[in-house]
Amino acid sequence: MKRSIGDNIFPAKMTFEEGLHLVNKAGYDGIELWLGDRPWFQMKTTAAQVQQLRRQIAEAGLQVSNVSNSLDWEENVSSREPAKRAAASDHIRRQIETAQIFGCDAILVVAGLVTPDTPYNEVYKRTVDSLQHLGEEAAAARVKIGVENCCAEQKFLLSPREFKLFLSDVGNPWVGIHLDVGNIHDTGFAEQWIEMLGPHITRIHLKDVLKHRGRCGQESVYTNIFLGDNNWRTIRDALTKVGYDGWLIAEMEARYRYAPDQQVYDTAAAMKRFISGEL
Amino acid sequence: MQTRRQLLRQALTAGVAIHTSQSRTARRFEILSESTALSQESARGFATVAAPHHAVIVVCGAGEKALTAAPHLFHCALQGAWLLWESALHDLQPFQFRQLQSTLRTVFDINIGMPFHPGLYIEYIWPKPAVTRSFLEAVAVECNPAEVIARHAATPVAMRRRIGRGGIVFLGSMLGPNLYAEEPEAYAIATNLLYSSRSRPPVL
Repeated sequence: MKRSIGDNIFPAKMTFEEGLHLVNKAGYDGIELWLGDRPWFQMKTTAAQVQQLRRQIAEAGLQVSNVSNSLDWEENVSSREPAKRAAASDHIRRQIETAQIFGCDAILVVAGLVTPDTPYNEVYKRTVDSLQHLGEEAAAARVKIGVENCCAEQKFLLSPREFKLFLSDVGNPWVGIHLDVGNIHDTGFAEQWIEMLGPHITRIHLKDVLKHRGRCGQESVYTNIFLGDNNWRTIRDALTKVGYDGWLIAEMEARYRYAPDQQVYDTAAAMKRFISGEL
Repeated sequence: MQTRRQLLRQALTAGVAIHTSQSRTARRFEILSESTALSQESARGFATVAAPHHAVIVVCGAGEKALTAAPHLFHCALQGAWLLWESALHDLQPFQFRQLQSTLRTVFDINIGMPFHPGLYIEYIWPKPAVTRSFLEAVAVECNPAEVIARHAATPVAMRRRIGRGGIVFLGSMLGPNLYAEEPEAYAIATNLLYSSRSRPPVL
């Protein structure tokens, strides 16, 4: 398995180049790029600029593990507003295009947001329809769409069986799950998601979760790997069980208040230990 | 209590009398289940696996019925059938467990230890390397290392042994309920067990 971390972890004043250097020095194999999050990778970033990012990543000795986006929370394929749905499809298409430029075969999307105003059944139908269309474009580009399980935040696809049914309804092998083992909170167990969705997993986000906090209040529910309630030994065994040997991508929410670069090093070490199975 | 030698002699002499019905048994895929809920669930699981062309008798969640039929099953194995004997320890009272231990030892020369909780996963090394969910309790099996086909950590929990023209695959942890739950790895293991039981396992 290979280790990666998102470019959104780069300390605030760090340039893209300095961030890549840090990630390489910490021992990662790759970088996750977040479309719409940091100034170097936005919807307005041109193809030539994307090529330049690609060169910088290669020169730093890294690969792009996947292209994610931070735009789905505002512009989602399940939105009632057609303009927002169109914008969501546009940025997902841009992810597919840039993934091709970066030479990677997976993107992450957050598809489907259930709200008090947009009910579940409506979100389900619209999300399946959108992914059926986008899935065809992804297949043509040979880039897999990984739908992330943001169970608590999306209020959508809350169990692995439901997620499997959803993927079956989309019915395109180029649409799978970008599994986040920290996002399951108290609605289930990460290892069971891995077991049930194994062949459909495109990438895996690693982070730990403090279940007693819930998704409210001032403190983040998420924490660094090995500090929370995930059963890491079992998660590791489950990955062996389903034969997952792809990218593991660290996604930290709470940040170190001091020495923020240290979080990048510590996370790399924790991931290395996780992969070794010495838990 | 009968000795192993007495039991084997009984099975062999009885063979003449039961041969007619046994020869039918020894040519096909059969599932022997108990009346317990888990044995029934296991049987439903094994029923989803495609039947092999050679004679295989699956003993789901072995209990009273299996213990009574053990000499008969041994005879089937002598004649060429392969037995897939699945333990279901939590369904047994202590005296029934002692009966199971005794029957396995006297009829099949298989020695098992006390039940233990194996954690979440069992690792199969034959006929297909794969990891499957454990099911409640498991039992350790004492055998030649070459006969081991699955283990939890370093503890052997399943084995394969030749008997006459057939043999026995002993599972110390249930597999059928995992098939019932549509676990892909369990399905791969079961299919390979049913189809590969006649082939020789690797020497480890």
